[in-house]
Amino acid sequence: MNWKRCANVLFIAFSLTALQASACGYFWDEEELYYKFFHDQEWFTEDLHGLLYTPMEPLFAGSMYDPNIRAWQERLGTDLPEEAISWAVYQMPLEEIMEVQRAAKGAFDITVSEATRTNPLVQRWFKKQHLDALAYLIYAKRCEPHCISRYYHWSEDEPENEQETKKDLIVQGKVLIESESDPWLKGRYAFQLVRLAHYDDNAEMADSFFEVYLARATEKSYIYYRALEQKAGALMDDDSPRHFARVYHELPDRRTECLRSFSFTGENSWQVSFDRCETNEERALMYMLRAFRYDGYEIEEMENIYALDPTSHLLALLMARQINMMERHAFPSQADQSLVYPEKIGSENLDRLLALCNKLLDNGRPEDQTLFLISKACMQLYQGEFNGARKTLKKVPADSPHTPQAQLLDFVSRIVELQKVDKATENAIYEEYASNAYFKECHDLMPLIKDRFGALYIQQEEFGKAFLCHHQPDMLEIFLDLNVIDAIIALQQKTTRTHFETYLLEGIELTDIYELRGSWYMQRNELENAIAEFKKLPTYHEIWTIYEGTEFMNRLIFAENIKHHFHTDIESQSAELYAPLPFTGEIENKLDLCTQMLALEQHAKKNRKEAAPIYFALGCAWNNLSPYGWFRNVMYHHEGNGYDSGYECNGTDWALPESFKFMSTKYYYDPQIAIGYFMKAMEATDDPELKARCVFFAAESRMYESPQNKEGCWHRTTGIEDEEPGRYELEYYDQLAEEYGNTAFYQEVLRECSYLREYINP
Amino acid sequence: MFSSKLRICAAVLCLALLAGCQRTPESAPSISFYHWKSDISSDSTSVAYLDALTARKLYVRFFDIKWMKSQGETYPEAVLHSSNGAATFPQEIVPTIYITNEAMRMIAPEDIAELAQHIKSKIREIHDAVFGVGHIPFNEVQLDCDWTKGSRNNFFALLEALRQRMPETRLSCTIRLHQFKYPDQTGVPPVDHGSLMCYNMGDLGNINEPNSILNLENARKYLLPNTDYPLPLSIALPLFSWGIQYRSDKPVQLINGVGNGALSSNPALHEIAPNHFEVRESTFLSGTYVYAGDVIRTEQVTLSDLKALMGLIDQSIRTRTHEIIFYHLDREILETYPIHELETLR
Repeated sequence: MNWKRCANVLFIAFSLTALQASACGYFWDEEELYYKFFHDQEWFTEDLHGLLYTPMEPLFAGSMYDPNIRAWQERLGTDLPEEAISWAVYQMPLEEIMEVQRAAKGAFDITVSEATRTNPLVQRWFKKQHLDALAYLIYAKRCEPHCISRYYHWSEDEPENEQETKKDLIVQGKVLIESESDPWLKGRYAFQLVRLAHYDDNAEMADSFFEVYLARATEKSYIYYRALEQKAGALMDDDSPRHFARVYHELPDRRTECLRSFSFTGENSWQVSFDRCETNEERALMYMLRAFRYDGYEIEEMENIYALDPTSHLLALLMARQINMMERHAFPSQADQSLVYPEKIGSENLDRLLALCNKLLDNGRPEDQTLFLISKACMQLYQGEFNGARKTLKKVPADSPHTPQAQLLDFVSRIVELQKVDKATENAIYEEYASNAYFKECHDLMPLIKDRFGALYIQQEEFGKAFLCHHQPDMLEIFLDLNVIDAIIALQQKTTRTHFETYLLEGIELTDIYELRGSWYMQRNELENAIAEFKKLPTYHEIWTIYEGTEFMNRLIFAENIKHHFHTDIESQSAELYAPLPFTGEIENKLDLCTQMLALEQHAKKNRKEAAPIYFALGCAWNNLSPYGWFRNVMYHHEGNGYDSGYECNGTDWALPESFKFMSTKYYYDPQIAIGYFMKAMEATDDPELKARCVFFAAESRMYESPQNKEGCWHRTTGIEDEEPGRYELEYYDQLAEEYGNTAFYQEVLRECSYLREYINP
Repeated sequence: MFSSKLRICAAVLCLALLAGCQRTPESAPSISFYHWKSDISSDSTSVAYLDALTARKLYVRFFDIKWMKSQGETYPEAVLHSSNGAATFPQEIVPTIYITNEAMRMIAPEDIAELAQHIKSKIREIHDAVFGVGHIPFNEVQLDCDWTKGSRNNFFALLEALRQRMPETRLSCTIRLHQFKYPDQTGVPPVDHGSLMCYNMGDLGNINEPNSILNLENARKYLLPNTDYPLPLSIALPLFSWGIQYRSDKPVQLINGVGNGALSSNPALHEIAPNHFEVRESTFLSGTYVYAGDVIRTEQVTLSDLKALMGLIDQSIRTRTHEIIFYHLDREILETYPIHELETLR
């Protein structure tokens, strides 16, 4: 089993889901992770999805499809790939497209890039198809450089003859549009003319071009609205706001520009523009744009729209946005507490929206009624009115395409309402979940079940299940805890398990649990117990994580290593002292290691004269096995052996109340085990060199106690930067300098260890 | 009843007469102003006010530098212009550039030299266009950037690059209070002098904040006695007021130029606590649409607060220059702070 790899994959998968707004999946919005059960996208066409995502200025174009390229595709042929059209329209340089035109006219000596030559649209031009579109694009590409604002550029200088060039292009455009008979292309030329006039600061001409060539169009195309935006920008008059509002609504790719252009200097200018609106829909769009400004208050603007026209189609869109926003606050993921409403989302806003929603259920557009029902149920759910929510959801017609959504919310309401979880509940909830395809497609649903169950299991002191609800199985390695391990073993050994318990235990093998149990004893130097656990493993059980080929256990675990603060090179381990020790066998796994450690200690106890180097080697072993030692992945499986992986500091288990200390995420590491061996070695020897070694490495043991201390020294290849030396090791450094300053080891370590050097000679 | 403009003119005239009889002591600090709007015009009221205070310099914000994410480059915004012809001030003009921290954080180090060149060219271009080619040439340029650890190196490199390109021009920059207190951590910019911004020292977003513009309690934490900052420092003092719009106790935006007087007399608002006004009916306020239920909290600076602040500054900064810069020159502010009162701060 490779839990680590599995966890990484899950992590990446969740990260991707979180970053991409999706109908069902964790949402990561403003650094807040939340569950999503209101499937807003079911109700709206793709071009409006962008308006649903964000609580801030709604500027996104949704799926980011390009309506301009879609329009071109409809014109040129749906068999042409969008990418090919996009290249020709946006990226192909003017020089190349003119070469293509020469080729279409029969020239053979053209020079174009491979991207252009192989483009399917260009291929058609070579075959003399769509040549009118080619002629238009050449004109458009000639206009493009003259239609940019210089306001946001460092140089305000215009290119030479800019004014004349624009005027020439306008003259040419007028000729081209008059000679063009195709209405589609005529509209495109008209857009170029309006835009050129706008950037020529000739608002009157821009308006005139629009009125002559576009205003009377019966069908409002993409290019019609693009030209309308240009006209509004050129005039910036009392009509402009309503035009910007209209374009904002019609063209997803122009939302940013239109919302930013939608501005007022005061009450009069707003009122004048508002009074210019010709229809209630225009007025409603004005309210909607004002709502979408960063300082807009959408609920009040919804009320304004409702007052204008209760059947406005915009109300459903705005309602969905509001429910989205409330859901963010209502369903933060990892909701370990009973949901507390409505404090989290502001009761005043919720009450106000609920009142409006009730009115819409009476008077709103008939085709939006199901959305309003679902919205009302959501708000009731967020308020903690679970029964009310379920009653509302029952009103969703059984034949509605949104019935599964209603069933999902009903299910969610029952989960968050739970106050205890027993076998019957476990079975019922899991079976309902597993038998509903819509539920299983909602990736947030099982995490919510586990969140809620986990919180209840903690209350019920069922810690094994609580742990598995709140964590991936590989987290057992990180939160190594005997109580949890034993609870999971008991769960594994139950003769009859509920479906949910079986689900929780998926992928967990008893052999892995015994291995973890052995590691738990090993971390505490209870080697006999550890050996007993490791012996339960049916075969050689290699440690889970393999890093850089150094995971294999061997006698180097007993080596000292002055440099290993600074180098990850295994060769820097010194084999000088441990090599002659009375090992009784090879070390290939943890069972071997524990057996050897026990044997060495017993040998030292029996043979006083040989004890000092053995105790020293055991001290070194505990340093190497510590969470920051070279062989840390032997007992701390989750720790890699990469250069900087050894000092990651853990957080705390979010799900657990303070009273459950045993599941704290702090590493269990007792520096006194290593220090104890070094002290025993000192007692057993008169050799000042060995004593000096013991004192130095005892300091290292203390250093490993705290990740911060370790972090402080890990990078010390060039000396101390900002951090002060950790306080624990100081007493040993003082002792080393004062009592063993004459030793060769002291001189060596002073030369090698900049951390010590800085301490001695700051 | 005198109009406010007439009152100011009368005050200016009286002070001018007084000034004619009484010389300003040599040791008294000189007074300067920031001009922080995009449109500058040398209207008679402002000119008279500056003259009466014998203002020496006018730090004029020429443009902002921001970061354009889509292009991955800096760009100038809110470029200074004069809608009423060339602006003529007898004061020395100090072109002042506001640079966002984001711009300095994002810019590639290799693009800094080019940015310095852009700044130099843009300053000259604006200076000639707005003040006229014949205006007193500028001798100093000031950069305003709330640099952080992530932007410090780039910002300091930009200052160096500007110095290389404008060797004859004095270079200064604004210093925030935290930068003043922790020069070792924040670094000291390579400029000739700094302007210590003695304002914006509270929690603007907190509806219960007494006054984020000037909070003496907070000021004491930064202005410790006898501090030797490694640069000579001018003192920038606040002369402004604003309203902060809150919705559900969360800040929405600042509304400039809003004072208690205007809000008290607005029938759509109701004063619910000192400096707190609830919007009872949605309405426009200084061009901003505010909604029923919003709360506007006002902040302004009193002369007594400024005097107390000056007392702290006198005890704290040992590297002061003899210059006080008021932020900022605005006709409505001139009405609020009579000249003779500002004189007492010298």
